[in-house]
Amino acid sequence: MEKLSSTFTASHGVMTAEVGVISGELELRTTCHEDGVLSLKITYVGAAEWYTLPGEEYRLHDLRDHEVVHRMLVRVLERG
Amino acid sequence: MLKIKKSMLIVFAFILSFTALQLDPPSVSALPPGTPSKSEAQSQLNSLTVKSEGPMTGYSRDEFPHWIGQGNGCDTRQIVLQRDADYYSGDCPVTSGKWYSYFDGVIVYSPSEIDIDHVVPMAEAWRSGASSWTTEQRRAFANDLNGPQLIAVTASVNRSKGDQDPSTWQPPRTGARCAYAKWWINTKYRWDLHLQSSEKTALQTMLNGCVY
Repeated sequence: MEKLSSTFTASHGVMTAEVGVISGELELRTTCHEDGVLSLKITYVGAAEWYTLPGEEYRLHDLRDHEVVHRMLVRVLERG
Repeated sequence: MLKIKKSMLIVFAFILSFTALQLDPPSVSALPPGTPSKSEAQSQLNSLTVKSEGPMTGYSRDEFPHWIGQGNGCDTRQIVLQRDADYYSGDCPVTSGKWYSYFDGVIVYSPSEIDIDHVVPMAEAWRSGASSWTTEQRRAFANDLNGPQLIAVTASVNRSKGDQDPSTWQPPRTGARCAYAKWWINTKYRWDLHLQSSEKTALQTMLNGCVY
């Protein structure tokens, strides 16, 4: 299981399952499990609760793709 | 002579009915209490402190205990659901009814499609002053029925609004923007929350669009 975490600024926000759009300084955490299943969590930097990004059952065919996917997600959400 | 009087009466009645139409909101739905006039909102906006946003350190929705009991088995959410309905059935919980969602102009008939929006979101309150409040103060803010801080809108428009301030999100129905600005300003004013300069600029533009 590998966890990657990045912080970024989402001036126009990111959609979450629990509270709708969140904005500002955010932290994305992606966890890649041994079977390739990827879970995505997001929070405000320093906040005490995490939210879920829409969508589920993301699965990587090659675990080595985790870092590339993580970086790609950050860039996309930042631009959001 | 009699003829003139009669036509004048008709004109007068017409003006009266027109005035009544103008004063009434576009729908029969109730709106939150305490919407300030344009000039009141302007002086409230002028008095707010402009300051950059604070960090989200320690934030969670649990810091704002919301939808507390309001007696008779009703919580804050149910009270607003009833207040903002054109009509409804079921006491607490409300089971059906008709709601006009002010932000997007959508009409829905099921309470499951309705969210109670915090006009000034809890996350926004946290970074503009509420992080230093007591839990009691945050509880009062999150359940504030005394001012225009809570409103029943569609779940979809509430989700797209999320935690954003008027510099990044305004109601998609342009006709709702004046009242939205007034509610936002009044809530920040009554709760002594600060605002950022981009937010102030957006609010001023929205307020300029108000007729009264």
